[in-house]
Amino acid sequence: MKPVILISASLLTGLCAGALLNREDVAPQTLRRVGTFSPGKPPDAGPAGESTGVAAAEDASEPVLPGASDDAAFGGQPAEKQRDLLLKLGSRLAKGGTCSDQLLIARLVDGLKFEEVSSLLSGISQAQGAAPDAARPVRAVLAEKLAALDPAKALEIGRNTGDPKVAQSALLAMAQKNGAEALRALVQLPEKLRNGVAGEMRSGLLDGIGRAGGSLSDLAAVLKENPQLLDPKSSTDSAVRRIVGQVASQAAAADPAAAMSQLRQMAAGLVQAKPGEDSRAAESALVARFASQMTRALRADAPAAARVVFNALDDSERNNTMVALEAAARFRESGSDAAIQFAEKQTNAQFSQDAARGVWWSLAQRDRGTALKWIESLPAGPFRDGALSSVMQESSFRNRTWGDVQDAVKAGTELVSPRSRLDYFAILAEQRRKSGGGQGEFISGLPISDADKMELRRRLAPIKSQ
Amino acid sequence: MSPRVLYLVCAACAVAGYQLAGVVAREGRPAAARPVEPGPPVVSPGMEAGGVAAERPSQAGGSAEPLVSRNVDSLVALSAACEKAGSPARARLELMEAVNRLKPDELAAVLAAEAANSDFYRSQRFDFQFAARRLAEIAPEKAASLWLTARTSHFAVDALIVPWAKKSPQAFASWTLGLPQDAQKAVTSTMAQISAEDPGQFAVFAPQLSQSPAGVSGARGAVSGLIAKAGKQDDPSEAIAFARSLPQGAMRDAALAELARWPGLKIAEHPEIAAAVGGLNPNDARRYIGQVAGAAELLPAGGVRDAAFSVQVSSVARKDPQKAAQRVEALSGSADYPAAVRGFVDATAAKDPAAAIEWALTIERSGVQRSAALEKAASEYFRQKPADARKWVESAPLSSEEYLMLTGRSK
Repeated sequence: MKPVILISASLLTGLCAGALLNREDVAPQTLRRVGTFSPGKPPDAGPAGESTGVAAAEDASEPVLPGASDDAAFGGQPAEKQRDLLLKLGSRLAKGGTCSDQLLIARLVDGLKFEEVSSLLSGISQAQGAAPDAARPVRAVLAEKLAALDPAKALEIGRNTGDPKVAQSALLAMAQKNGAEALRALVQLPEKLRNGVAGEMRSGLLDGIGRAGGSLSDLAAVLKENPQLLDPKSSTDSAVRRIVGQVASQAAAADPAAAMSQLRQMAAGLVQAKPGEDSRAAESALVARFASQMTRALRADAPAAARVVFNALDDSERNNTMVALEAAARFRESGSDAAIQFAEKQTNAQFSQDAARGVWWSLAQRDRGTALKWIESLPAGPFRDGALSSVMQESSFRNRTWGDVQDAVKAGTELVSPRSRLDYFAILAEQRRKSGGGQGEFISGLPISDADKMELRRRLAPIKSQ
Repeated sequence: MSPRVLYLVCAACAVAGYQLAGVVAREGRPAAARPVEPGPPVVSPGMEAGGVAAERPSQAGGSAEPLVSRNVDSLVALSAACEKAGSPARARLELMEAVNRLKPDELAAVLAAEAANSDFYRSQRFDFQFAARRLAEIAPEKAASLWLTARTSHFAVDALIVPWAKKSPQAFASWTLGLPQDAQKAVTSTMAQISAEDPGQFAVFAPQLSQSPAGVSGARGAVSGLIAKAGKQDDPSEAIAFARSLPQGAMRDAALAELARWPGLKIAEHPEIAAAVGGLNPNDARRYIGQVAGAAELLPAGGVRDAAFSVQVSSVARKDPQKAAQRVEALSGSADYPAAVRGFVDATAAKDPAAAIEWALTIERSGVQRSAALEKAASEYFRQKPADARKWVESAPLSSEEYLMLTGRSK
C-alpha cells in the first residue's frame, strides 16, 4: 500500500475515533449536563462530601429536554414546543431548580424577537393545565424581556391583558430611562391594574435590578400634575417611593449635597399646606419618605454618599433603621469610638438606642465575647439599653428563632454580669407586656435568683407610686 | 520513506485526527449547551478599568458573549457594571452570566466580603441571592462554611444552604448533627422548608434526627407540607399515619400537633392530636391555640389547656362580653375557671379596668392565672386612672406577693 494511502487512512481512523468518542459533545445536550459541576465531588454530595444516592436518583428522573441547550434550535422550534420547554424549566425552578435552569431560561428568551416573546407569554397564560408555580418564573423572564425590547408596546400588552407583571416590567424598563415617564404611565393605568402593578413593585422592592433614572425636576413635574401619587395611603406609594428614591440616589451618588438640595426644593414645590398647617413639617415628611429609599440604595453602592445624605437630614426625617445602619456603617469604617460618639450625639433616647443597636450588632459580628464584655463598660442609659436589646435581636438572627421567648431568655443568661442580666430581663419583660404577655409568670420562670426576681417585680410594677 | 518513519507518521496522523475531531466537537457545541461551569475570568474587548466589560448592545439573534469579570473582588461592583449593560432583562442576564463564570473560590470571596456591607437588606437583592445559590450548587462545602459565619450578618443568607439541602437532604441532615448547638437551631427553618416540600423524603432520614431540634422542625414542616396540599374535605388519615410513623418522642408529637391545623379538622374526633398539642410547652403550643381553643376541655390539664380556655373566652368576650361572662360563670368552681377569667380580663380590661379587677379577684386560688389577670387589669387601671388605681391597691384584698407585684413595694 502506498504511504499516502496509509497516512490518509490513519488520519481518517483518528478522525472517526475522535468523532465517536466525542459523540456526546456533538450530540444535542440535555439539561442533565447543566449545572451538575461540583469540584472534586459527585453531584449529590453534601458539604462533607458524603454521597447519599438521593440526588442521584433525582438526576436519573430529570426530564430530558431536547433543544433546550441549543439557542438556535430553540429559536427554530414551533411556539408550542418553546412554550412547553420553558414550562418544563419553570417547573424545575418551582421545585427548587438550579441557577443553571434560571440562566438557561434567560438565555433562551434573550434570543427571541418581540412578537415571539409576546406570543409565548400569551401561550403560557392560556396553556391548559400549566401549574401557576411553573409558569410564574417563566412569565417573569418573558415579561422582563418584552419590556426590554419595547417598553411602550409591552405596557400596552399589559394594559390590554390586565397583566400586572407585564405592566410592572414595562414600567421598570421605562423608569430605567426616565422615571417621570414611568410615573406618568402608572397614573394612566386602570385602577385595578395599577393596584396589581403596585403589588408587584412591593414584592420586588429589594430585587435591586433595574434602577430608575432621569431627573428629579421631571419627577417633580409629574408629581405636581398628579398629587394623588403623593398620598402615603395610596397603593402606589411604594412604587412612587421606589422610583423617586432611586432617581434621587443616582443623583446623590454623583453629588449628594446637590441631590439633597434638589430633593428639598422638590418637596417645597409639591407640598400644599392647608391653612394653619406647618408647611415645613409637611415638606420634611415628604423628604423623609424618599430619603429612606435613597439611603437604602446608597448604603450598598455608595456609602460615602449615604453618609452625606444622612447628615443632611433633620431628626424628623430620619427613622430608627436609618440611624442603626448609620451607626453600623461608622463602626465598620472608623471603629467603635467613632460609632459611640455618633450615638452620644443623638438628641433623643430612641435614636441613641437605635445607634447602640447598630454598634453592638457590628461588634458582635467580629467577636461576640468581646461585644458582651463591652456592655459592662457602658453607663446606664438609653445607649446601654439599646445594646442590650441588640443582644436579643442578634441571638434571634443567629439562631433563626424570631419571637422565641426561650431563646431570648437564653441569650440573656450569656451576659457577663448579674446587673446586665437583670437589665436585659427587664427590657425583655417590658417588651412582653407590650405584646400582651403576663410579666408575673414570665419573671417566675427566669433563671435568676429570688432576690433578682423581686427586684424585677419592683421595677416593672404596673402601679407606680407618686 | 522507511517503514519505521511511515508508522510514526501514520500514528501521528491518527492522533492528530482524533484531536481534530475533539476540537471540532467542542467548537461546534452550541454556547448554551456547554455545561455551566466556572472557568477562568476572561478579559473581553471593551473592558473598563474597573474590570468589567463595558456597555454592550443586546444581541437579539442569539446568546450574547457573557460579560465576565477580571479580578472581581466585589459583588456590588459586578452588579453595578451589569446594571450598565442595558435593560433590567439584560442586566439580570449579564449578572447571571458573570456569576456563573466565577470560580468557587472567587464566588466565596465576594460573598464573604458582603459581610462588611452595612446595608441590612443586602442579602435580599437578586445578585446576592443568585451568587449564594450558585455557590451552594457548585461548592456546597464552601457555601455551608460561609453560612456558618455569615448568618448573623444578613437576613437572607439561607440561600447558601437551601439548594444543596434540597438536593441532598440526607447529607444535609447528617451535616446538621455535627453543628454547634446554636447553628443546629438555625438550620431548623431550612429543614422545615425542605421537609414541607417533600414530606416523604423527610420520613426516610427522620430516624437520624430523633434527638435534634432539626428533627422536630422537620416533622412539623413535613406535616405542614401535607396540609398545604390538602383541601377542606380531604381525609387526614394518611397524614395521621405519616405522623405516627415518625420516631416516638418530640418529633412524632410535633407532627401530630401540627395536624391540628388540618383544614376543617374536628379536634374532638382526634384525641391523639389534642393530647399532642396539650403535651407541648405553652410557648410552642401558641401556634395551635386558635385551632384547639374550641375544644379546650379535651386537652390534658396544664399550661396549654389553660391557654386554650383563656383564648376561648377572650375571643367570645371581644364580640359579646355578656355571653363570655356567662361562660366564665358556668366554669365557676372548676379547675378551668382561673384561665377563663384571665381570658375575660384580657379582652375587657382596656374598656372597663375597674370591672376587670373585680373579675380578677374572683380567682380565689393564687397562681399564675390570678397574678396575670390582676396585672393586666391593674396596668390598664393605672394607665387610665392612676389616682384611682393607687387608692384601690392600698385597700384591695391582695396577698403580700401580689401587692409587691403590682406596686413594687412591700406591704
